[in-house]
Amino acid sequence: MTDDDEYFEDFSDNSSIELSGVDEDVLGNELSSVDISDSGEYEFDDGPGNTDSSSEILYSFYKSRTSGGIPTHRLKYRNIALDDIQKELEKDVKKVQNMLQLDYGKCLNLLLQYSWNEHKMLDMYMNAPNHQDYLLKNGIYEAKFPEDLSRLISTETDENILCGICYCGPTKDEPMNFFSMYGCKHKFCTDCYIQYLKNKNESGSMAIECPFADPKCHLKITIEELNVLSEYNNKMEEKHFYHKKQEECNLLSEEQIKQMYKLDSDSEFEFDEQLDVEDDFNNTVKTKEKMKIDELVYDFHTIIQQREREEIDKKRNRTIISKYWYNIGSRYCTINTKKYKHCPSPDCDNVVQFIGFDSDIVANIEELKRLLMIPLVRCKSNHQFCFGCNETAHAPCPCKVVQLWKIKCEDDSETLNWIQTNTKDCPRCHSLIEKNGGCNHMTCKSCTYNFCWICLGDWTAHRNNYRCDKYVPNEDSDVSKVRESLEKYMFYFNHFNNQRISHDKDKQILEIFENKIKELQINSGVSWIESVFYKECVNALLECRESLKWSYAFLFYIPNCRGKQLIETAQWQLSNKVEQLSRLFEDVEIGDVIKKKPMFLTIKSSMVTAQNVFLETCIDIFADKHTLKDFVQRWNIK
Amino acid sequence: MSSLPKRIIRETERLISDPVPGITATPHEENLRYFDVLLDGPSGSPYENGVFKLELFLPDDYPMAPPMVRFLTKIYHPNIDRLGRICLDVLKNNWSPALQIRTILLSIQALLSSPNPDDPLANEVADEWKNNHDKAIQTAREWTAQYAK
Ligand SMILES: [Zn+2]
Ligand SMILES: [Zn+2]
Ligand SMILES: [Zn+2]
Ligand SMILES: [Zn+2]
Ligand SMILES: [Zn+2]
Ligand SMILES: [Zn+2]
Repeated sequence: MTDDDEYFEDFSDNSSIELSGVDEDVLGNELSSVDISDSGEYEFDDGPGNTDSSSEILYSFYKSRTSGGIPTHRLKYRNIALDDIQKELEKDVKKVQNMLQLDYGKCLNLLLQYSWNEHKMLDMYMNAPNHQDYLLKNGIYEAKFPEDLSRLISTETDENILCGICYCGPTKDEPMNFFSMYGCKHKFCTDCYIQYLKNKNESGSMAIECPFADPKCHLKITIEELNVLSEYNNKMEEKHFYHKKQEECNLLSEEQIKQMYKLDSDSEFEFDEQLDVEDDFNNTVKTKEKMKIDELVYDFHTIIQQREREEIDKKRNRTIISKYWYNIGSRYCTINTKKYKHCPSPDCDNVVQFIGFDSDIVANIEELKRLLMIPLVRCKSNHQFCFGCNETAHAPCPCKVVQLWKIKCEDDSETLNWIQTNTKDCPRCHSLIEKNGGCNHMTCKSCTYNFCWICLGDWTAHRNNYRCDKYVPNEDSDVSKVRESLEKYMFYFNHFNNQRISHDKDKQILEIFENKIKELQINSGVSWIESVFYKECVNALLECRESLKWSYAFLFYIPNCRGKQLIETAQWQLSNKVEQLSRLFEDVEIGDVIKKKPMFLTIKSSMVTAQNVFLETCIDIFADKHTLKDFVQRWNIK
Repeated sequence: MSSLPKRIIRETERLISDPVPGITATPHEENLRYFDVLLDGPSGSPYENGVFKLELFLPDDYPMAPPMVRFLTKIYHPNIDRLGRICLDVLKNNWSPALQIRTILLSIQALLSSPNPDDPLANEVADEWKNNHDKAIQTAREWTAQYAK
């Protein structure tokens, strides 16, 4: 929250707002319309923004019922960009505008003031003894804006004028541009005003006050006025940009690449076709020319992506108005968390919009949580997260259990002082072995012993009779109950942590792998599109690792029963596939990657199947109402 | 020394040529963004007759960002903590680039005249200030006599 949200104290000195320009304003009865709609939108992005309500409805689980017939009460949602919220907000503002007959930006500021609580705002407005005073208290100058607000920027030559921020002033030979808001006459030079707004934008402020300080002016800038400065700034920056650009070498266009290689536009080389080809690695005959082209295509794609990224940055961060709307949208999400969730992945601007439930009995998220269901959603950029608690995906562990587990880990970590290291001795020859990949199948470099990282047992034992992932209560020992519960926790925590470490290691391996792939593209002429399949494998692998990780936290809380055994079996099957794929990434010779593409895809798809079966099994354990009730009561889940 | 914005030069010139009564601010020769400040305790306050040393630094993005100010002399005040950090709105949220070093120092002087124990930085001092006012004033006086010379 910023201090902008707080209600206003009375102005200590109303004289700071000079009621100027009232006369010129009589004509300004028409609503001055600022074209805000084209301010924060990307031309190249034809995402849901343009298709809005028709954009695809997505579900939090792939099936509405498990194989066991249990309803999964799926959450229905839609992917939008933060900018799409802007359109929705504009509707709210227009509604208020119709009622109050005020300029658009003033209504927007009022709504911001009341955290979009329209009723409260209107109530306060209607009950105010004097509307003009009320508005003034909210930093709003009531008089309508004139048609042309560009006059707020004036070019000054008067040597008596000084900007109160940079202390610079114009001369006859060197005029300076100044800006002041319509409702006050506090002029500051445009450079300073722009810098001031940019700084405020950076800190997430909205309804930014006039910088005049002595006495403090509480007038708030409107979106219309911001727009004037934003456009002015764009023009200035554009000038600067073209200057720079002329010096720099331009990027190659598709046409230029073709010309360089003397391919006319009718030749067999087509970008679009290239994108559609999935399996043309059978077509092994490649001319040298084609290889070079592939290289260029790859570079071209990289450049295009980079350029698009820069474009987004530019639009978002460089135009004052779009950054301002970004802040408003982001803030709106935090006010309306029931309807919108801003993707928690760092630097992700995507928003997930709640639509409803695919269920007869669930009406809200809390009810869903009480049924121990996990509303997992994916943002437009495929980041998976939980709509219930805004954490990264934690299936099969229900939200409340995640909280329990986290508290438990915090409480116990100190007493246990349990540190997971990344090195272990080889159980046979005792030479130091570093875990360098996510796979638990270790091979000692000194003695070639194959063993399991978790239990240090012989790996061959794991293939046929996989005992490692199961916690077997040690019934023979006469240790105290406390000791046993600690052992139990250690067991699950050990596994949980191990998956976490594996996840990080896998990530590292995959980064190295990615670099190798790039080399491969350059050296052997494999095109960018042919090797893109591995990325889906990577994502799937990392997601399954997360599932495995959370499954240990989940299992810790599940009492011993038949359902638990079923979960452990499904978990083992998933774990097998995960290790298999992880191993494949680790072992594959980079030159064989394309050849092994079918193998990658086969393992990946069986892994995903195992994942689905596993998650369904975890849901099925609560099929029995008593089990659910017991569980909820035992762990005090409200 | 890297180039200094015109604004800082102007402010410094004025601080030296036209000083505020009871306040001196002198820039360091080797770093013109760093000021030694001497501030007289306002009369009628428990800080009367004390001379307090402060340091003031203008960050790179000054005046967009507020100056950083800290008491170097030990002072017993509910809005100033043991490290000399000051809790003052204009140094934080209510900073405006149109404010100046001069106005900030005046605000600090005003804070000495009228402490605000409801928005404390030093909690124990604030409690004392509210619950045992006479004793708090007495302590502030003693500290002033002892440290602010
Ligand atoms: Zn200026
Ligand atoms: Zn003003
Ligand atoms: Zn995302
Ligand atoms: Zn959750
Ligand atoms: Zn060994
Ligand atoms: Zn094992």
